[in-house]
Amino acid sequence: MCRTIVITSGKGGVGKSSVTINLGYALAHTNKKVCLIDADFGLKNLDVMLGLENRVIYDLKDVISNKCSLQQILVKDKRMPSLYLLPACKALSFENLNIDYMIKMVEQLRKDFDYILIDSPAGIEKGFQYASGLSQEAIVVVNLDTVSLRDADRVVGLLLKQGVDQLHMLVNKYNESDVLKGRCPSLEEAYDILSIPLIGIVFDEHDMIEANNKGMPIYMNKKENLYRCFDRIVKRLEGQEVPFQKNKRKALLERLFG
Amino acid sequence: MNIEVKGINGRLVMKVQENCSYHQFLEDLDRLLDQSLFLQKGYYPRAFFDFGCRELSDDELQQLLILLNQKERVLFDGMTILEQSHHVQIKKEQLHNGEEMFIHHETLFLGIVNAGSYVYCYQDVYFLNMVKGTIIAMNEDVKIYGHDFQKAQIVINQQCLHDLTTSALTSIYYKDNQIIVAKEEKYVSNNCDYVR
Repeated sequence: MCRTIVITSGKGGVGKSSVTINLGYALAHTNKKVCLIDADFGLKNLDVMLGLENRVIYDLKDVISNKCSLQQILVKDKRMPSLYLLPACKALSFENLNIDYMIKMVEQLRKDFDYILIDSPAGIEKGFQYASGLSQEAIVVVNLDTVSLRDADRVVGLLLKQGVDQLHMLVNKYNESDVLKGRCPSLEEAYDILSIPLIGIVFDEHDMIEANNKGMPIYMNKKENLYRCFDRIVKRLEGQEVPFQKNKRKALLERLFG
Repeated sequence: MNIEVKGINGRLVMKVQENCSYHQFLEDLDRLLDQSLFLQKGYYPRAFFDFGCRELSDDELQQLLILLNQKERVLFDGMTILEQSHHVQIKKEQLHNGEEMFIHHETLFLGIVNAGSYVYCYQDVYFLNMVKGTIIAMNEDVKIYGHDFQKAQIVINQQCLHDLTTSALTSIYYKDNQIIVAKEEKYVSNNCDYVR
């Protein structure tokens, strides 16, 4: 049974795309067949962050105009054989896109995949509505800052109105020291605001930025602590009860000299 | 335009939006009656006014009748009259940022009112959970009760009370041209005595 999950947030820059990629990798690592859909039409990001930019030949516009089949636009990640990307296209706008067509396309993909992760664009405009209309399950990515939580709260309300009732909160860029020093809201406060279950936390690491820039998902780097965060998120998605990952501080020399 | 016009059973039903001011409604009606539909000679359609949960004062009703009399475009065919109900309704949902809720009856509100959400009250409301959003009383007789206001905004009769924060049982109402915030401190101490 395929699960279709929308990764959304409301506010931009919270890390939806990097969460989508690494969660996709973590799921694929457990032998699940995963399809990532870049729903940010006009501003495609996932192919760049996955390092697959040069392998994208066809895009969604070509499928709509019958130049190629749906299977042909799927880009297989050679580093993770069960992970596929359905890239967005820069030329297509939401005005030219039919939601019914997108629903049919996702239905078709559901036959071939175990998980479909849809990377929703930021904001609550048409792009968000398209993406959230494709699924009944969503992961709301938040940072522990007031603006992000407020926007996420707005998104939760809109998702519930649209009938997306299986909602999970994922706290990205979690900095334990900031929370302990009271510089930002705590996990409890975030839960009080959104009232949706916490599916996982991902720590704030500079290596994530580097990984995204190089097109090498951080999940591939097993030396990093972050891959464990995603492993645990996958386990919770699968219904297991696992404790949240603790952030191991790097040794002094490692912190000084990288 | 805050008035929606529908032809039902041979008469015009004018549905008035609940969140517009009465003054604005009268202005809109004035403009509406100048439209070509109402300018036919010898044709006087019957007009029924649906005010939803709005209760008109005698003065407001008089203003409406004066306007209709001056315009001579429609025949007044009645209006909605609120039924007096003493039931307290219970609402459990959580209000998220950007959501609005209209409360037409006396209500016990069990959910959380998050920051950025709006509650429009036509009757008294008792909030049993955290209130961080904006509560707007739609008339000056509405009373708002709660015990966990956190930087909440209260609006009564176009006066605003900003950043209300209290964890004591509090009643908020309008009296002598100002918003009164009465914290029931005795309630807390009595309760503690009882527990001891």
